[in-house]
Order: sequence, then C-alpha cells, then structure tokens
Amino acid sequence: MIFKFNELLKNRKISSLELTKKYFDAIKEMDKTLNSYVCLSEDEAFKTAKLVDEKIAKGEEIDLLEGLPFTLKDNISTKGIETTCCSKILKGYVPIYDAFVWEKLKEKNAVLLGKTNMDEFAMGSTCETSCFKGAKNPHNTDYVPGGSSGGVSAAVAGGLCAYGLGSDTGGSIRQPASFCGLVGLKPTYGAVSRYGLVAFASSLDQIGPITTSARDAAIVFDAIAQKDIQDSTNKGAKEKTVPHLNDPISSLKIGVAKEFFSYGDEEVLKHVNEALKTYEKMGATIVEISLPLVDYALMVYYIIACAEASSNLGRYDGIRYGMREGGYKNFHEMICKTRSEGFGKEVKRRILLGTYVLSAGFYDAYYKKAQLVRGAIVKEFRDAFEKCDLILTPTAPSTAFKAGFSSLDPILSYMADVCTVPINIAGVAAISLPCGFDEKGLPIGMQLIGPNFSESRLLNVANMFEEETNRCYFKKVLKGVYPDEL
Amino acid sequence: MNKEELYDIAILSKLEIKEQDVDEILKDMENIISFAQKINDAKVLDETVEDLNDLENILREDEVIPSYPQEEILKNAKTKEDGFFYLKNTEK
Amino acid sequence: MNYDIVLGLETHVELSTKTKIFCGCTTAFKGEANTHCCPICIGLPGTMPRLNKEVLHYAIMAGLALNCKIAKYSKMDRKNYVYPDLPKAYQISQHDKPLCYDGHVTLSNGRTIGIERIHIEEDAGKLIHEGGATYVDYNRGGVPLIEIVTKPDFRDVEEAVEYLELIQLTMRYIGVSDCKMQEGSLRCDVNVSVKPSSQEELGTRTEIKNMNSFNNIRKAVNFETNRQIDVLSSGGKVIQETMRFDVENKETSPMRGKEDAQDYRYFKEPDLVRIHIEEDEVLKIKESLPELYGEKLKRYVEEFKLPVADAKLLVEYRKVAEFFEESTKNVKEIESYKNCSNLILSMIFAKFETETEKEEFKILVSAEEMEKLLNLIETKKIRNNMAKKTLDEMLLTGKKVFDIISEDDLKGLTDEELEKICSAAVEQNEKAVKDYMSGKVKAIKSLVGFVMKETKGRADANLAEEILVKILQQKG
Repeated sequence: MIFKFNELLKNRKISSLELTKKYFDAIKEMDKTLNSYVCLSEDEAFKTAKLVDEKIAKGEEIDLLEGLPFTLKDNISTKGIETTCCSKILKGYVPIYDAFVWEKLKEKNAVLLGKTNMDEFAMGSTCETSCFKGAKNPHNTDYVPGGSSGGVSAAVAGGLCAYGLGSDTGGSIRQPASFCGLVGLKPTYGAVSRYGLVAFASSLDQIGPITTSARDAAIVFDAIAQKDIQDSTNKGAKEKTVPHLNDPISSLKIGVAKEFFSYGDEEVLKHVNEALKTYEKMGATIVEISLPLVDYALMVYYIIACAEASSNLGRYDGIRYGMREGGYKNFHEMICKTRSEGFGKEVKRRILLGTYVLSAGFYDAYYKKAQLVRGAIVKEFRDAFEKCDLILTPTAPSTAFKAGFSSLDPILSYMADVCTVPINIAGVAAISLPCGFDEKGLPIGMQLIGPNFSESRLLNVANMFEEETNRCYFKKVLKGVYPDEL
Repeated sequence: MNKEELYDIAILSKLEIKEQDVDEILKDMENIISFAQKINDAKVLDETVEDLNDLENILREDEVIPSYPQEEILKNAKTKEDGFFYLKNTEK
Repeated sequence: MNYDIVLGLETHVELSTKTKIFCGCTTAFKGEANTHCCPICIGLPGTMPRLNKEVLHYAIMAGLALNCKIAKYSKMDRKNYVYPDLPKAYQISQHDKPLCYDGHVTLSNGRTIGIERIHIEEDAGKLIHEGGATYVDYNRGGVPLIEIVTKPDFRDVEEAVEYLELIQLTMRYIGVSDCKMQEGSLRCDVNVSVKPSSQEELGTRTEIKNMNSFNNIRKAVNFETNRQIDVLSSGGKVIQETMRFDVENKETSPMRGKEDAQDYRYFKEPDLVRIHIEEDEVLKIKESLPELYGEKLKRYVEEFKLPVADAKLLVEYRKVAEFFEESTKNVKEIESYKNCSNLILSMIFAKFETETEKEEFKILVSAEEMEKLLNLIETKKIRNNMAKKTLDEMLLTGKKVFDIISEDDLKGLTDEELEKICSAAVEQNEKAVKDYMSGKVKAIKSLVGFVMKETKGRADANLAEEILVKILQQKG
C-alpha cells in the first residue's frame, strides 16, 4: 500500500495535501463509530503535507514514506501534541520532546494525522481500559479491535491512515493486528529505540509497525530501526529488511511447538494449520519442537511487567505534569488522591501486584524466581532456534472478543496473551499476519517467531505467504482511503 | 493477602483504597497472586539470571548539552511560581 | 554500667563531573531554579537515562584512594520511593553489586576503619518549604553522587569526624569532588548504636540522616548516644529507626510516620546495561592517581624535614602542594624546602581570605619564577627579607623575578662599599647618632635600616651593624 501511495504522489495523481484532507474527512465521518483516534494533529499534518507537495512540485525525489499520512499510538511522545497513554492522569500533558521513532519519521516528512486509542498505559488486550472509551473493530463494530494498540489497528484496518506505530509489551502489536486482519511486527528487544515511548515494562516494551502488508511493515521498520544512543538498550536493526522480502524460502525449517496449540479455538487452529500446509507446499519443512517452560511465561510476564510498571508509574504524582486532585492534608495524601483518581482499575490492580511482588518478604518467591524462569525461557528459545529457523503459532487463541467481554475475570483476559507473551519474555522477534477468517467473518492471525534480529527473515517469510495466497486474507471493510480507489 | 497487607502495599504504591472496594480488590489480588504463585512449579536448573542482551558499558562522554528553557521545563506543571514547581502543603 | 559507642558512616559525596549522571545538563552549583534541567532529569514519561562515563572513572578513583576492590561486573538498580524531590519516584542507585567494595582507611590513632562499599547514584532535587507551600527545584536532581559506607568501626565521634576530614581531603586531592559541606557536596548519615562494654554483639542502631557540619555531627551523636544509654539503662529497648537532628533544639527525633514506611523494592534498572570493568583499566586508573594526602604528608615531613603543622597546611590543598613541589624540584639545600614553605605560608596565604581561594590557588607567580627566587636565596645572592619583598611585588604585579631584581642588585657589596655607606649613614642621620651616643642603643637599628634601604637589601644587616658600631665608637 505504501508503495502504491508513493507512486500516486510521485506521479502527481494526488497531492499529499489532498491525501491528508481525504484522511481527515474519512476520520471525521467514520471515527465517530470506530473511536480509533484520541487526538488529531491537523496543523502538523497539513504543514508537512504542503512541504512535501512543494518538493514534488520542484521535481525533487521523495522517499517512500514522504507525504504519507500515518498514526502513532498515544504512548509515543510527540512534542507539542498531547500524549496521554489514554489515562486520565496524563490528560492535558503536552510533551516538550519527541520520541526517537517520531523524530525519524519526521525527518522523512511523514504526515502525522494524530494519536490513536489504546488500553490505559498499554495495560489490556481490548483497548477498553482507555479513558476515552474503547475503539471498535472495523470488521464488526460489536467487537473490540484488540489491545493494547487497538486504536492503531482500528485506524489502519478502517483505512483511516496508511500505517501506524504501536508498542508491544506482551502482544500489544500482534494481537490487535491479528484481530483486525493486519500485519504487526514486534521487533527484537533492542532493535527499535524506546526513547520517548512512555514506559510500561521497560525490559519488555518494543515499538513496531502495524500495516496492511509485510512489505509495508518492512518499509516502516527500516525507517525506525536505527541505532539510537538515547536508549542504552538499543542496537538498531542488523540490516535493511526490504531487499530481502523476496528471498527464497524453500530451505526454511518451521518449528511447531505443541505448547502453543493447546489453547486455541478450533477455527483458529484450523487456519493456522492450513497456513503451515501452504508453507510446506512452498518448500518449507515442518519440525516439531518443544518449549515446556512456555507454560510459565504468562506468570513470569505478569510478575515482571507489573513489577516494572509499579516503578515506572510511580512518577505520576501530580507535581510536574498531568492531573492533580485537590483537597488534601499533606503530600502523601495529595499524591494518593491524584493517583487513585487518575489511574483506572486495571492499572491500579497491576501497580498493587507489582509493588507486592517486589516488596520485602515476597521478592524471592516472585520477582527473583520470575527472573530465573525468564533466563531459562531465553535459553529454551535459543536452543529451539538450533533446530528450526522460525516458529509458527496462532497469534491469539481466539478471534476478536465482543465488546464488554473483558474485565470481569482478570485471569481469563490475561490468558488471551498466552501465545504472544513468551516472545517478549525471550526478547526475540515475532510477526503476526492474517491467515483466515472465522465463521463470523472476523480475521484470524498467525504468528511467526524468529531469533534475535531476524526481522529480515520474518518479513521475508510473511511476504512470501502473502504473495502465495494472493493477499486474500486482507479485506477492506470500511470506506477509508485506499490507493486503488484514488 | 489480608486486609492489613493490602493497605501496606497500597501505601507503598501511593494508592488510596476505599473501604467499599477492599473486598473486591482483595479478591482480585488473591486471584492473581495464586495464579502467579504457579511460577514456583517451574523447574529451573541454572540459578543465574541471564541478561536479555549482551550489551555492556554503554556510556556517554561527560560533555554538557544545553538544558531546556525554564518555561519548557515548567510547561506541564499544574502550579508553578518564580521558576519553581509549586505545591501547597494542604488544600481544602 | 559502662557502654561502648559504635558508629558507622554513610557519606554522600557529590562528584564534580561537568554533567549530571544520566543526562548532559550541567552540574554547576549556582543558577536560577529549574534551569539546569531537561526531560531526562525531570523524569518526563518516556525518557531514558544515559550513564556518564566520567562518573565511573571518578568513582573508581575514589574507590582506589580508599583501598577498595573494584567489581568486575556491576549494575544499576532502582530504589523506589515517592517524594516530590525525586522526579521518577525511584533513585537510580546500586544495590547488591556496588562498583567498589572492601576498602579501608587508617586514622591518626592507628585504628583501621573498614569501607564496606562505594556505589554511584543520582542526587534528588531541592525542596524549599515556605508559607505553607513547597517550591521544587530540580537543578540538583541527577547530579552524580558516590555513597561511601563504612563498617561500624568508629568508637567515638571524634574518630568519625577525623574520618570525614580525611574523606574530604582525599576526594579533593584526587579531584573528584570539592566536598563542601555548606554547599551539600559532602553529607552524611550516621548509624549510632551503644552496647554494654561487656557485650560482644552490637546493639540496635538508629540512623541520623543528612548531617551537614562536623559540629552538628558531634552534637547529634552525643545526644543520640545519651538517649540510647538512657533507654537501655532504664530497661528499655532501642528501636531501629531513622532520625532527624533538629539543629535548633539540638536533639534527634524519629523521622517517619507510617505513611512513609520504607521498602525500597530494589530491582535492576532495565533501562541501563551491565557495567564491566577489566583489571587493566583499574590498573591504568590506579597509575594515574596522584599521590594521596597521607603519603604526601609523610614525605613532606620525612624527606623535606618540614614541621608537621606546616606540611599539613601545604598538603591540604592539592594545587598548593603541586606549586610547592614544582618550585622545589631542583633545589640542592634541604633548607630551601623550608624557605619555600615559609614563603608560601607567610606571603602567599596572606593574600587569601577564603578556603576556596586557597583551594583554587590562583596567583600571578609561576613555579618557575618561584624556583628562581629560591635559587637566589640558596646561592646567598639575596636574603630572606629581600626575597619576601620581591615575592610580594611579584604577587601584586605579576612581574618576573629579574624584572624586580637587577644585575646590580645581585652583585655582592665589597666591605669598602659597605663601610662607605655606613659612614654616609652616620653623617646623614644626626638624630639617630645623637640618640645612640646618649645611650639609646636601639637607635642603631634605624641606622641599619638606612643602610639596608641604600643597598636595596643587599647588605648583610649584622655586618652593617658591626661596622656602624665601630664607626660610632671611633667617633665617640
């Protein structure tokens, strides 16, 4: 899609300004239902679009992403544009600095349409913990788009932007991509700079693209996965991924681990197995592997993610930014009141758990043990990749949930992340891509997992699947903006 | 987890717990904790915690970078005065 | 019953790197509120720390100066607590793998104080409480600190004070901190416990926080040990708690209520990577360390034969000692060290009013010129009073030695010449001569003064006096 848009712009079939206007028109019409955007940045967008049009008018070369409208999840810091993480506590917060990824896209004159909806502080799998109310799934608005990057997915799937950047701590890019029939890439820990990503769980968070194709994901990933000295844990990508999109996959060994197939709905498993057959047909070999510790990944995840979150979210005290609750007797009370009023239920639940597992007397049994198991999981994946190139799993055990399904039983909703969480625990790379629809017409996603810094191979293998299946699993569902309709 | 423990954790977390919510939160926490406890069934042979990546000694040179203007630093503060973040000690 | 006092110190030393520990903001002490700040050091959401290389370097220097081992692998941890001066609600510090460990220092009474560990961490911002409100300034937030933790090895408060002075001098010496208590670049927490002398194991300790002067430490420790002894002797138990010292009432009191209950929930800082220091790097730093205070003092007394009190004054400030050594590097007579020391202590120090001036030691005289001056004294070409006068002018004007002293001045006086001038003195100072003759022997001094003035100090005053007396006797 990015390539087609770029052709249209270069050939002056449409100007960047016109394209941007079309997007805003579509947003204004359809987002009343979808609720994917929480903030629009029209001034910023039009300014950049005009700049790009001038360049084109002068006959200058433009980059693939230049002049092309996109969106950022609302936990990515944007100077001068409100960044709330969809939490009441950060309403009105306007950053004074840019996240690295936004800086990179800004350099390319990418057109930022606005910030998109998410679960509060990225804690959730439905987008429903947002203080702006949840976004809807464009495939069926009775359903959630997934989470936490639900707004990005809804916007991309609804044709309300060309692509978007989300963040993934335990599946927050891949699961909504899967629920909305899109491609979502969770890069290797350290491939994309986290500088400017409002931290949820620092040892798990990564920024990645949500797009309508593997090729688009590759283009965006190449633009953002550069070495950044501001993030000490960052290395940048190993290589550009676009040149490898069509590398042969005939010698590919795909690992299948039963642990990932024990939770899924029948329909989901059926389509994932069909995808496996497609790969076999394309020349790949299927290898059976086992990752027994994966069963503990979810517990490791909740312990580590909550522990880090309890620390990362300590700073919201109402003093330097964000809301402050009045009526207090001292600092302690002011801070407690502000946080109790400003944070939603799920966020508070996770802060309490995180504080608990780190507190004296419980640290060894929970946090330390979780670190040990995490280390073992890292090794288990490393060993598995001795036997195969990639591992294929469902992205989520089910298709999208009906709105309002979650929140009743926290454990049950945590289980929805069972296939995606182990990847963040291991720090490796994974991609979700569509591989079918269920009876209700909701998209099904499969996940390809690769070793550290294997984004090239993942995107290549995903792209070859799309080409083999004629992109039949991507469906335009709303009257958004699409290049072939311009 | 008992009530007492929950209140202690809440103080550390700087969160208020209203009397009417205690039971529900306790039940939730119990639920999640007993789920998390299953981690102790995991058999781990190696007692060392592996670093997630092999990076070490990522360091910055000791060179001054100009600071931000004061008004930028204070831009998002609810209350500020004379270049300071400002906070009344009590408020009705 | 007799009680033993047991003290341990946790000393915070602010490092004098150019920039903060995790961002490029300046560490300069002065400045309007919140003007040495950036998104990182005010903890804006999404920002990440970047560790300053020089902080590691300085901390290792400090560790080596205090005879510590340097950890091959260490890491940064988060210490979680909420307070308005701590913008991230955690302090990035080191918990279980400090950079330096297992060192010691020796006090003047020969007792050794164990250094348990030295770790690096960031400072908090500053709160000003005024008129029912609090003003927050984050300029100090993120300034690098080292925390030096001793074993509970002090037996009285004077030992603790001596240790602190030694830390102060050592840190200044190796140039990692200016250690100014009044500016807060040296602060300490004192752990206090008492136990019956007959008892082996240590008593329960309390911690007095944030002491910022030697006097307050003395007062606080005295108050607290007496309090603890009172508690124990009346059959009570000391509670382990954190105390503050109230300077006005001169008493300690518990610091925290229940809502401030502390449980720091340390865990590894996920935004930073492992610190790895190889042995050869430690060796390199060790070799680059200047001679330390204690060693230098010993050398000044033993080698240069300086009185201990004088040597201490010279050694206290690194730049003074450097100037002294540079000036005396080529001297041949042992007496010249003493001459140099005297000139510095009497002439140069007289120009300084503050400690800072001594520390900075900004003077218009180079060591090279000082060396020339010392050489003139050593070769007896000029005398002490002349040297002092010359140095005084050099300090005021920045002139070189030979801009002030001419070739003529350096020519020795023949006895004839001296006699001539003496005769002239007698002829031209009738009053003094009259006084002398009438029995006021002291009047000879003013005649000597005249001779010295005429000869621009080249004359040997004793010899001049001899000649004058002779002339006057002949006259009489």
